[in-house]
Amino acid sequence: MNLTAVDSADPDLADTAKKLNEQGLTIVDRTAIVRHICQRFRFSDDLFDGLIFARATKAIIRAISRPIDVTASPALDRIGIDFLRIDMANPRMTTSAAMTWARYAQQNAVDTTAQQCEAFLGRKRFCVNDTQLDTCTGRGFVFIRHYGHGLGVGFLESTRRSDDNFRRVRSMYPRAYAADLENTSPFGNPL
Amino acid sequence: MADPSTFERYRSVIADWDEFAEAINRPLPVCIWANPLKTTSSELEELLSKNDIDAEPLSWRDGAYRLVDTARPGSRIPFLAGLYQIQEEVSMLPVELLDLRAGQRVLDTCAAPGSKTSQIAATLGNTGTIIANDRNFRRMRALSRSLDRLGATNVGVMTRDATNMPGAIGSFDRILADVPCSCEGTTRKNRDATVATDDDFNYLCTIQRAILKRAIELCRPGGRVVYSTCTYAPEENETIVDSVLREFYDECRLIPARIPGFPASPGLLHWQQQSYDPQLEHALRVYPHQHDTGGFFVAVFQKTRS
Repeated sequence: MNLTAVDSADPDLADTAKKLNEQGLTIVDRTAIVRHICQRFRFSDDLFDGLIFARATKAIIRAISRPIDVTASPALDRIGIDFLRIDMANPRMTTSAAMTWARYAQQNAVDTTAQQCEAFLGRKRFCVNDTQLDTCTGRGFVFIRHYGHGLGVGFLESTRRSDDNFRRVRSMYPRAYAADLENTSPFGNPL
Repeated sequence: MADPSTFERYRSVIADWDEFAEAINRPLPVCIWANPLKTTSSELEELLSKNDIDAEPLSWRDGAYRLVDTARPGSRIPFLAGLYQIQEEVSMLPVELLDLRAGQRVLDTCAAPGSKTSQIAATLGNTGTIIANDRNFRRMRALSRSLDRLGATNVGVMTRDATNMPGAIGSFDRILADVPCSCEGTTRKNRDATVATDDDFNYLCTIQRAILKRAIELCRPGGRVVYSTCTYAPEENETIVDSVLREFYDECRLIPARIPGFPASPGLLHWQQQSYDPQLEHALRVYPHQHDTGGFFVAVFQKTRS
């Protein structure tokens, strides 16, 4: 993804950009980011208007409220939430971003059953049915939701119908989160 | 089991001693609040019901609930989706008393593990700026997880010594100084909690006073500083507030810390041989038997000028 730093002459952002820069973050032009995620998930165009996107590391773009009133020092350990991983051919939204914005996605979001949801949270692959594929446009990252609320990101291996070997979702739920759920049931069922 | 005689030194200031002694051994109810960044209280109630989570609304705070017989609420689906946050009921008081308004700049001096920072972020609705600080970076991981789960995009996190916060951080409209304390009020969830020794008091009070003083200095005129602890000890509560009121007598005053519908007691004006500033009556003492919570102390400072 080709991301350029915002023009520091932008009067709305110049001061914030300077301070965030001192904090090791570079505000990047939102156009490419918003276009990429809207294309995949069909978000409404103005959903991210209240956010600044800033590059925190080579791999991570953070989403930060706009306006934000930080100082150049002392150093912050983090600000905002991890939004997009860009160190891959096809950048993907992070789990925290999925948990926050998946409910607004109009495509490539899988509303899971209880069993699928448990599989996802346990980092296991699961199959999706034809109805769940209706809003999926093709192989790639999908949001995993339950009752419409985002839980994280999965990878849909194919949208080829009538073949359970293909229409599977690989869970990308973070290992640390899944470890916390060992020996528990997210639905409160006895184990 | 907590031994009520451990707290004998407070018998003279706790009106219903027998009820107090009985209450400190009851299990503490688990409370949650709906995350307004992602849902509404009515939507959450519907989801809790679908997930067989039995919850009773709190009378004094909209969107907050006491759970009934719910095991491990931190592993249930609505929690994992960031729709609610678990927080002890009494620990919601300091943030309520901050009287937050959208767009404010807020400092949480001792933020870990982060339930109060999360409450601030939710109340501000992702507007304004929150700086969450705590010296203990390991405990700050829990805070980062909560912020990710709740979708808080306006929080900066740092790990500095709150007694010595640099002036370069700027001034704040609201500051929460929920200071480290002897935790006497937590016996209902921590059976080992006990009365502090003189050495503990000396160590803790030095830190508490320094954190509160720095908070007053960093607050903007017209702003508020909320000082809170989860202990009964007047040495860590009224004595600290009194000494800071004396030092900053022309810069700040105490304003009433009262929450309609939440029964509590006023701050003490005397303890042992000591008398305190009459403004201490505005402080808030919470004992476990008054509202079936843990013990707590809150004082609200209004900064009048710098």
